[in-house]
Amino acid sequence: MARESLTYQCPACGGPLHFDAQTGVPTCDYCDSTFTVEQVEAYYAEKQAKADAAAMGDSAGKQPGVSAGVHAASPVPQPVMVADGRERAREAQHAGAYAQTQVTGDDAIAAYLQSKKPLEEGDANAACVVCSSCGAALIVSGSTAVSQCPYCGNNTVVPGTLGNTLEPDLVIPFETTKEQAVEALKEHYKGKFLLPKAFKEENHIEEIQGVYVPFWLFDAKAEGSQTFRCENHRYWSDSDYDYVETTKYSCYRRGSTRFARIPADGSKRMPDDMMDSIEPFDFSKLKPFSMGYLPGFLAERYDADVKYCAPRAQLRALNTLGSRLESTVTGYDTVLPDNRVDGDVSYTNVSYALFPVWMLHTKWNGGDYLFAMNGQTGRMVGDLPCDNKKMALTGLLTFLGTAVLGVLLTFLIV
Amino acid sequence: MSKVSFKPRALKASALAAASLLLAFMMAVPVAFAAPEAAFADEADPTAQADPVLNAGDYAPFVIDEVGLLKEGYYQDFEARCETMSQNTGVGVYLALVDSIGDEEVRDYAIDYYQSNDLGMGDQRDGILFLISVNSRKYVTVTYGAGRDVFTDYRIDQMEEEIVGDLRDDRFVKGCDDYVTLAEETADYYLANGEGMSRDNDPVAQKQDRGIGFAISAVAAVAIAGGVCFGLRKQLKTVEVACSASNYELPEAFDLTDSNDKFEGVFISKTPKPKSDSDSGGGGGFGGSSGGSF
Repeated sequence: MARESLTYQCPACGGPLHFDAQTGVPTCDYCDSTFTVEQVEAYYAEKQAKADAAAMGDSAGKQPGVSAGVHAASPVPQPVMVADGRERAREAQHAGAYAQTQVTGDDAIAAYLQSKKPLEEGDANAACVVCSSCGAALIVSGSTAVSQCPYCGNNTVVPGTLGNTLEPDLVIPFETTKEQAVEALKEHYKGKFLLPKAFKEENHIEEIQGVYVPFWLFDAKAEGSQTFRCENHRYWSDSDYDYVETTKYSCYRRGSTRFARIPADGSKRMPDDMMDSIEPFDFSKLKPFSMGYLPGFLAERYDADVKYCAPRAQLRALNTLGSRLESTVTGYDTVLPDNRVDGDVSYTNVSYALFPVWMLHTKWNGGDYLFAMNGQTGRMVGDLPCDNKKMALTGLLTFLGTAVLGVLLTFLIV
Repeated sequence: MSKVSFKPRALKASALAAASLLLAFMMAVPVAFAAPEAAFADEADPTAQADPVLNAGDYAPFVIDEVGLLKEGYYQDFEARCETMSQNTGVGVYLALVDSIGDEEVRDYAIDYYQSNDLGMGDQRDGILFLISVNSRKYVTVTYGAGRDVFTDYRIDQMEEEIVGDLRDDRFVKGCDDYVTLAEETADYYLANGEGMSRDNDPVAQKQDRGIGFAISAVAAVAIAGGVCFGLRKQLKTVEVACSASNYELPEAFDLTDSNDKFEGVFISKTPKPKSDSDSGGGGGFGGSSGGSF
């Protein structure tokens, strides 16, 4: 059952506004009037101020910022998020992968967290709905009908609370439309020999949704050292023997490097590898956050806080430092790392941003499939099912053909 | 018509005449067979000289047992068989069991043994010697002259591979028997085909090569089929974890603050080159194996 959220209304005609990815500005569905984000914000800030002033004299029971026809966001107990198997697996993987890492630069993170104010109910018409199946918490604004959870496909969402959700610092607006996302998904299916035909036909491709995914962005400095085992080889022969001379070296390197805005998605529900795969985003298009970018789209509330996500950024930073150190070891025939990079990462700045992603969740043949497209660049990713019978037949035919050819060649040569 | 009757005197004369005729016939036959040879020789090539037929018995003994391991019966059997082979091929087939050779290289010892004991048949001293040093636990095969054509290095490797197991188990008589038996097979092959055994004409090797070819075909087929399926399946996977943050590294931010390359040592390894049996062929010089220990 769909729940309508609060609407941004066109200042000109009162019709519903949505954020147009192609033009990059809020646009009226009825009169096609366009406004800048700042104009819409200023208009509603003024309206909000008037409404708040009026509410000061109202009796208890009415809540500010709530338009008629929509159930008030009465305090609803947070749904018990029964962690399914996938959730447990992700938690375990995260704990295992980052068990050895330590988050340093806590001062920067702590300072950031102290400086941030939480997003409040009615704040620029933000509201929260929660999926009754997987517990995904979505921030909504604008004329957005949440008909289906983008993560599990469930059709029932209930009102939730924003809790202590921080207000985002930055946002990359959508630059691709739903039509482009649908076309990209169709293109994604093309040329895949082992993709079951039924999957293409039964996929509810039109249910693709635009979601702003929460990301933590880390400015960091990585410093460390690594040792490499290096060898040079020389070859020669005489009438009786072949000789190999190996000269061995141990090479030590120490250095540092800096990064700007290493992203780590703040959603435990969103697979990390999927968000990694749709990178990179063009950070030159980053804008200061405004709810004016949200109409027509969903935004997931983060459930992985900055400290939870920092080790992922740290690992990527240290791996990059290791590659840079290795690139300075030259003049040898073979270079192999003797150990992992011994170093640490300090954070100089943290920011919270929303990045645009077109998402489609689909179930097929007992399996769950999630597709994601970078809402800015159009890069589409998502693992597809495999027709195992077709694969087995292909393998068998290839084996037989190659074997017969091999036998014929054997008879010809021997 | 009067009846003819043989009188004893007439019978005796007839018998004598018949015996004379028979004797004359027996004396004439060798001449009749000999004459054509002399004639072919004259007709074929007046400058050609007939090869002297070697008598293997002149080059005996072919089995030398200095340690007394071979009992009388075995010794005679091996000797007779080696002499037969030598007679048929024109190449002396020798077997020697010696005591200890000390620290000397077994091949050098065998060559020296061959030369100092005047082994080999004919002017070219063609032959093969399989020498076992019982107390030094070493063995080697050397060939000389035409012996290298009959007993190729390729074939000698095969023979030694079969014999060495017996020597390791101290079954010296069995090892000697294996040598003589394998030498007989080799000689027969040479006489039947007019050439020594090599990898190219060895039917057993050909069968093995075919078997290897089939096995390689099967493995290659599995690998190619697996590769094709892997490649097609990989098309379906587009999601992977990002391990690096190189896209987010600031330009020229990398700063190398310390480096130290330390020399740790030099190591040399050597691998013996495989011998090729193309070295075997007519002409001088010793062939055979480099020998080994058991």
